[in-house]
Formats: sequence, structure tokens, C-alpha cells
Amino acid sequence: MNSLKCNLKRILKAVGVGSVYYYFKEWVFLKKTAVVVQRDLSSVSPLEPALERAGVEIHRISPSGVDFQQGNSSGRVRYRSQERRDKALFYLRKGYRGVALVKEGEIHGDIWYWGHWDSHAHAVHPDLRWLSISCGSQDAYGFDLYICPDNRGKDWARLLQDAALRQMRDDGFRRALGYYWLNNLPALWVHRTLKWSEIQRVDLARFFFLRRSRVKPSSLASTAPEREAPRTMTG
Amino acid sequence: MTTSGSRKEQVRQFITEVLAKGRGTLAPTIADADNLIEGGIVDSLGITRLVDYLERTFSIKIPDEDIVPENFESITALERYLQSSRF
Repeated sequence: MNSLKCNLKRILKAVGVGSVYYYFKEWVFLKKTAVVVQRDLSSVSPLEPALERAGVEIHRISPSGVDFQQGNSSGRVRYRSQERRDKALFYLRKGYRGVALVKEGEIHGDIWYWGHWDSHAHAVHPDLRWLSISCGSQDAYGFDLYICPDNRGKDWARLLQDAALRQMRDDGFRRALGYYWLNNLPALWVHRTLKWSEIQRVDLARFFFLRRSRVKPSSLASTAPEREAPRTMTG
Repeated sequence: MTTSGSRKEQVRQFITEVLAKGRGTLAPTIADADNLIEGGIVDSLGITRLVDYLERTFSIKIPDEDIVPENFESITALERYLQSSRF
């Protein structure tokens, strides 16, 4: 129901700004190729120098650390984008964990991840089904990286994703999983510069909530490191 | 026919005047071995502009499997890649 409300808000917003076409392109398509990737978390690089150069901070997103009411609570950061704030509330209710990129008290970007931190309380992330991947107890699934449009082109996406990898490692995970669309060159670049390796590709057809996917062997899959046998999940 | 030397200078000029403009992370003249990724010149938007520029300027198609840091990390690496027999 919350997901439906979130999507309804997006539709109304799209209608309001005349970008219905772009919204529906995201929900109705015959074929898009997702590249499924993994990253060994034992070798994440130090982040502090890059953060200092960019003049930003990294915060873990929590209900107490973010000013979701947009009040004036001191010491708490606030979202610049109302849409992302709503999404963050939705994700937190689902039990996902998030990392935010903060500048001068405002959240300019965020990224989310899911894992088995509380094995019985949280449903498996829905992407895992159509991506045909399973997460073991030491795997985290990262998704939905966002940077405010006026701050793109500053290499912050790479910084934020790198920060998320460190957060996952600090949470006890040993491997990160994720995906990007093959036609999304910026995302492809961020993943490759951060040494993610390809596992497989998935062709997806989508009509709103109906999805049909087909797994293809990856031409680059041979470069992927050895992985532990995943635990089969049920949704 | 574009010679290797002039192609390299064309690429350098594009990187200096378009991608690096206003960033101030590298010296005004970018040397062959300067790391464009660590310098923040070829970031997620920079790679999009660079690939688009290379494809249009040299009438080539860069496949996604070639878009890896080893091919784009410096002007030397780019020149080596463009010289490869792939095109």
C-alpha cells in the first residue's frame, strides 16, 4: 500500500510537470538489459581524503538522524528533495538501510541496501526475484542510488557508492550485490571504477507491475571472483 | 586519415577544454600520464561526454565491454586503446 502511495505521488508529480512520457518509459518497456554485479567488501578503499576534497559528509540514514518533519531540529540533517524524503521513510519502514551524502546539513544524495541483519523480520528485496540472484547471510544488496540533479557531474555518485560499500562492510557483510541498466553509461562507469565485477545479464520486459525476465550468461562473467554458495531465499 | 599524434592532441584538447574546464583538479595542460579518473575529470558524466565525443569525432562505435578504467584512465591509455586493432 505504501509503495502504491509512493508511486501515485510520482504519477501526480509527473502529470504536473508534463513528464508523463519519461515516467511511463520507466514502467512500460519491451526490453532493457540489467547487468548484475558483485563486489568483494574486503578491499574497500579509504574514503576520508575524497570526502574532504568534495566538502561533504556521509551519514547513516535513521529515523532519529534525519529531520523527516522538515522542522528545525538541531543536529539532524534534512532532505532537499521531498520525493526522496518520502522514499526514505518508505524504505526505513521496509527495514532497509541507507547512507546519505550531506553538505551543510542537507541530504544531496542517498543509496540503500538490504541484507539479513534481522533474518525473520524483513521480506527479501523484490528485485532479487527478477534478477534471479539470491543473497547469502554475508551478502548485502545495494539499490536506488540518487544524487540531486544540480549536483551531478561532481563525482559524488562514486563517492556515495564507495561510502555504502564501507557501511556494508562495517555491518559485517562480505559481499555486495547490485545491478545497473546496460544503457546507463554513468552507472556502468561508477560500478566499473569501483571494481564491481559482472555476474550475469538479465533481459527484462515490463508492463507496470508485470515483469518477465530472462537470464543471459555474461561475456565478462569470467572476471568475477569466486563466491560462496548462496543461501536460497524464499519471498 | 587522422595520425596518431594529431588524434592524441585532439583528445587532449577536448579533455582540457571541455571535461576539465572549471574543475581545477589538474594542471591546465593535462600530461599523457595524468590520471583522469583520480583527478575527477572522467567521472560518471565525463565518461558519457568522452565516449560520445570519440564516437562522433573518429566515426567509431565503442562497445560497452571496452568502457573500463584501463582504457580511459589517462591520455596514454586512451591513445593505446584507439590504436588497437579493434577499429
